[in-house]
Amino acid sequence: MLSFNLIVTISLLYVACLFGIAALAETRAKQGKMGFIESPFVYTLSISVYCTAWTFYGAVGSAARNGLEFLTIYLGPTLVFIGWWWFLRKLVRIGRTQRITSIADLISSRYGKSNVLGVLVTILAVVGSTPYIALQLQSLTLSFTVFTQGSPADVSPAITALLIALGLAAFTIVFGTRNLDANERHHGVVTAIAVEAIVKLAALIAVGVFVVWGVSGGPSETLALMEQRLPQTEGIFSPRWVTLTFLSATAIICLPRMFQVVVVENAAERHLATASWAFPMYLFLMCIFVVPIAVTGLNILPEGSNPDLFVLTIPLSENRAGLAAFAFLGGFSSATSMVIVAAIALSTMISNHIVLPLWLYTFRRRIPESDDIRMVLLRSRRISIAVILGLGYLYFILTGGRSALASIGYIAFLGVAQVLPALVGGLFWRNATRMGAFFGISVGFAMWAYTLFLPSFAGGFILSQNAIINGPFGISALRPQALFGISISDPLIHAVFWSIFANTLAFVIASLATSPRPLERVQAQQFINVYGQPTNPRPIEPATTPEELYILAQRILGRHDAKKLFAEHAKLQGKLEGLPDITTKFMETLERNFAGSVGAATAHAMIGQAIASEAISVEDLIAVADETAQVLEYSARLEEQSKVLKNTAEELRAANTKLTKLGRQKDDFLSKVSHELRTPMTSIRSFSEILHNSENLDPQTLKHFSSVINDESQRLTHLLDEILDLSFLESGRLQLTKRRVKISDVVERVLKSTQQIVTQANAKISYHGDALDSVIETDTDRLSQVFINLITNSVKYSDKDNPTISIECRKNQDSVELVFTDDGPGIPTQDHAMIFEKFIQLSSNSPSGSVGLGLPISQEIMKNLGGSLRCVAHDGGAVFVVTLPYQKM
Amino acid sequence: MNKISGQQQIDKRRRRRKLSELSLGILGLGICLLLTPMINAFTLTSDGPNKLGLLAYIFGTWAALIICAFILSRFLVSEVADE
Repeated sequence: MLSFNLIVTISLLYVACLFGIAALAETRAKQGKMGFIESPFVYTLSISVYCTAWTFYGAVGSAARNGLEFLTIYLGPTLVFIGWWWFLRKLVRIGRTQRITSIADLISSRYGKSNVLGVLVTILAVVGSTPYIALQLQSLTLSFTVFTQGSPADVSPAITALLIALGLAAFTIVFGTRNLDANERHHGVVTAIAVEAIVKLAALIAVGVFVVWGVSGGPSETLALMEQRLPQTEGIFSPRWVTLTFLSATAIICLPRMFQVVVVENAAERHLATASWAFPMYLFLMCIFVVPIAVTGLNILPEGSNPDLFVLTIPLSENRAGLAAFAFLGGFSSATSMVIVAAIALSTMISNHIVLPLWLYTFRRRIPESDDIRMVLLRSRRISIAVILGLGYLYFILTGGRSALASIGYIAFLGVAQVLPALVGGLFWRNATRMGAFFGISVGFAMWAYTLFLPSFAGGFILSQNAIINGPFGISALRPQALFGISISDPLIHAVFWSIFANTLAFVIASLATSPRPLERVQAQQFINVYGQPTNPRPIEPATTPEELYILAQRILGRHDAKKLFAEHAKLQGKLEGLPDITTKFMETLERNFAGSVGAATAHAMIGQAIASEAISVEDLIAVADETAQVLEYSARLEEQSKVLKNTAEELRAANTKLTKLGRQKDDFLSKVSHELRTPMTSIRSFSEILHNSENLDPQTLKHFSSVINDESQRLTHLLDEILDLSFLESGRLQLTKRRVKISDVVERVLKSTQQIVTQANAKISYHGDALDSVIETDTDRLSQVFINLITNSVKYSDKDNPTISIECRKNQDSVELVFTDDGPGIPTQDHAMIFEKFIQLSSNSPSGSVGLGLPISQEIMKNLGGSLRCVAHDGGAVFVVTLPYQKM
Repeated sequence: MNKISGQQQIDKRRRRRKLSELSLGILGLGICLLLTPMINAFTLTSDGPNKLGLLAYIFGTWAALIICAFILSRFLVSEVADE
């Protein structure tokens, strides 16, 4: 038999080991050697702080009393972790981006950094957790009592519980409040908790294996025993089954200690992916031997034995002292880890949301000369831890420590579940407001206290036994366990229904009845769209100096961290020495860092003082513009896109028409070219055939025929040259040789070239104009080609015996125009565009040798020279205007 | 080059959506199997609950959910890393 003293010694040694592990982890973390400390498995194991003494001892007790109902406590968290991608991931992301330090901080931060809400959630969490802490004290006391029964060292449970509470307070104070981390992470504690998680799992499995193979005689015997002794008389599905699963699912999110390990202590989001299967697996393993232990206990231990202690009493009854000690350590680990983490989480909430705001309010004017804020925080946390454990002890004493472990756990679960509507609403509902959250939580909290918490004292606290049964002042409609005459046989389901229903209703109604403040809108935007939008920098008006800010930061973050942060920002701002300037970005970083130590609301209040006002920029307001604005923007974008699509369709249609036209032109062109080639080719072929077949041709006929062949060949070559020329011009591949020349020189040169044809036709050409002396930069040969073409056409198509052609040269702003006017038959206006088409000959009496490429070539030349050639309407003869670009030299 | 990366981005987004929908589906399936009268339909006989059958049903569903979560987390963890 293990003596009480030996058990105490083992416990103390175990605690010393945990101290060592925690200290080692802290040291390694400080040195930056995170390694295993920040692995996803340590994270998962730390989440198993969910499995408290209630799980270790109470699950077996519950299985022995109520059958498989105990499984609900594990199935709820399993479902939450399996759906991690949809809820926990968002929660963790918000926790990281907003530097959330606790669940109270999260609610406060979401609803416009409201400290009132922070205080409310803190009070709720403390009151809700008190039964839970009492439960751990009770289970530890019970487990100690097992070893003191019948021994001379029979210590009263009250004293044992007090000693345990004192010991736990000391451990938590030493390790939980050694320093203030900017992220509120406790590497030492988390590592120690992970070790405890392994110990409790191993202990429960060891007892389970012993029970199945050592006591019952094997798996088949155990199964037979389960069939026989498991108190499961009805189908498992019932309102209670669903309610308890809902409660446990809520607890894994809302319990302050669970929020601490899942959200605050999370180092990387990918750890959550591992925990999504590893944590349910841990729970699975914790449960696998619960039923065998329960039925074996019921089978072998005397009737009336406390089933909550089967894990200890079975090995003791079989004289397995070592296993009993191991099982005791497992239970000890479950209880201590829960109390430590819960106390840290609650003390952070108390110090950040109650003590520090009060302290700041009282000593606001004296901040620079006052004590170190860090010391205030640390002291308040240490005192808070003592107070929290004191409250747990008080609850234990008041309830007499006789309630079944499981029922105390449910009270705590429902207490903290009152945060759920505000939490879920805050994460997904844009219009949830601070007032909604405040009323929801308050109403739910009051309902919980009235229908479940106060009745749990069984008349020992505030509500008398008579009031619980008959209602206060005998008003039966106010009976705490049959409120408004709605009688639900299970008080827990009754309390869950009323508190959650009233809470949600108040939250929704108050949210709809009030409008969120600008800061709430900003926060709502950042919470709801945490995966997307970056925050817009807010313009600020500093009412303080960098030096004052540095002093404040030193007091909150500590000298080292403050120095590092300021140096980093000075460097970012391009300053080699000195303090950084007060910029929006810097103030935002500072606020987030402060929030990591003192909570969002307090940090916001401090920064708010430093920057004179809670300025919310237009950008902020735009960012939080309500859904109507977003829908409008979206529809505007759609409209724009549809307009673009319409334009594109029109362009495509135009391109298609153009392509069809070009295709037709190409066919036209080819048929015309073939026709033009065919005529000379036919002549050449005919005459060459005659030459070939006729032997006795006289020399004169021979000369005539060969001259015809020669002329036609020249015409053919000319035609091909023109086609080639046009093709070069159209493709822009023509090489131009530009040089500076006086316009009159070009005209003179053209007149010389056309002298023969002009003389033959008895034509007269005159030229005049003030711009003839202008100097332009052009390709003289090509320009002359255009002029010659125009003059030749005028002469060829003239119906006068003495045609006259005038050339007028005039200057515009940035161009020179040469107007060629003749006195011929003219060109009808409707044909002005057509004459520039290839192979078009308007007149039926076109001179031989003309193929209709002259004007198209001339127009292309002018385009290549940067000018234009057009035909203008005129009474009488034809008028062509040649425009040339002109730049003053 | 841009065209390829744009297509890859679309594929990635589609893959992520499918994975997250699958995770919601598994959660829904878990709720259906464990929190609806279906559980009684499988385990309740006219003589009362089949205790061993009930244990096998719950623990079997639980184990299957863990395996699904394990497989899914392998894929989803890379999505988290991408972010």
